[in-house]
Amino acid sequence: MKLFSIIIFFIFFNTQQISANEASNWLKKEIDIILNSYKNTNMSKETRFLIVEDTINYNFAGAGIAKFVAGDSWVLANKENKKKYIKLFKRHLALNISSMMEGYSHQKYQLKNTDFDSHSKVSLIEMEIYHDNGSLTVTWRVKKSKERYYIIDLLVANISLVITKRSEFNSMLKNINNSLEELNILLEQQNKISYDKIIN
Amino acid sequence: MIDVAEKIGLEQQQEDFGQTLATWGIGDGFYIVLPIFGPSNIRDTAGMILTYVTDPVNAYAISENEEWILPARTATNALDQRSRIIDEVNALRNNSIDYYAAVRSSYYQNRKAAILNIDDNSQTPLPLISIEFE
Repeated sequence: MKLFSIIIFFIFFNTQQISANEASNWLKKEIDIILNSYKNTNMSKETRFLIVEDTINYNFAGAGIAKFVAGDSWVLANKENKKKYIKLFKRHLALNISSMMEGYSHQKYQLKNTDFDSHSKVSLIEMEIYHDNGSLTVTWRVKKSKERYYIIDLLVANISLVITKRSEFNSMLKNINNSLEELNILLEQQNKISYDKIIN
Repeated sequence: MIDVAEKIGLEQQQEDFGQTLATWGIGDGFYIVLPIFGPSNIRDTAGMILTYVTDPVNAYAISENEEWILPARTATNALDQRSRIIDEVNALRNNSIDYYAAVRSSYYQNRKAAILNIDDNSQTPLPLISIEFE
C-alpha cells in the first residue's frame, strides 16, 4: 500500500512537471519570435509590429481578457459593440505588450522557475530580465485549453497587467456611463496614438 | 555588515513605517501623487516621513548640519527605483486610456504585496479569465 502511494505521488509529480516544462518551452519559443523581430534591423517598423501583433494575438487569451477588463459594461453592450471592442482591445493589448517587449530586446533574459498550479490549472513561468543595475522578474500565467496554451496574465513586480487594465478601463467606463460604444471610440483613438508612437 | 539572520532562514524584507501602520490596522486614506516621490496615500505619506526621520544616515546628516544630503538621497533613490521599471512605465504611459487610474491600480497592487510580504508573483490574485471564450 505504501509503495502504491509512493508510485501514485511520483506519477502525479512528474505529470505536473512535464506540463510546466512543456508550457515553458512553448513560451520561450514565442518570446524569441518577438525579441528576434526587434533584433532584426532590416525589418521595417510596420512589419515588425505586425509580426509581434500576430504572435501576441495568437498566444494571449485576448477575448477572455477583454471580457474580464470590461466588467459590468460587457453585459450591457450589444453584440456589434462587443465584437468591435474585442478587436480593438486585442490591438490595445498587442501595443502594450510590444511596447514593453521592445525594451527587453536589448537585455538578456532567462526563463527560471516553472510551476503548475493543479487547482487553477495555470502554469506560472518566471522570466528574469537582466538590467545593468540588477534584474527584474516577470511572471507569465499560462493556461492550456483545447491542446494549446494561452497567456492569461503578465505580472511585473507583483503587478498584474490584467488587473491594472481592468481598473483603468473601469475608471474610464464610469465617466461614460458604462457605454462600451463610447469606450470603443476612445480605444480606437488611443490605439492610433500608441501605434504612431511605435511606428515613428 | 553581517547578516546572521539569513543563516537561520530569515530572509531580508524591505519594510517601512507605512507597512507598519498598515499592519496596525490603519486604512489607506485617499490616494495622492507627491512631487518626486510619485503615487502614495495619506497613511504611506505619514509612514514615509517617519521612515526618513528615523533613517540613521539622515539623522546623522541632520546632526552634522548637512541637511542637503536628504533631498539628494531621496532624488537618487527615486531615480534608481524608476530606472528599474522604466520600460514598463513607458509602456503604461504610451498605451493607457486612463494613465492616472493605471498608475493608481499598480501602486495599490504593489503596496498590498509589500504589506503582506509577498515577494512571489505567484501569490498575486488570479483574474478570472475564460479561455473557452477564445
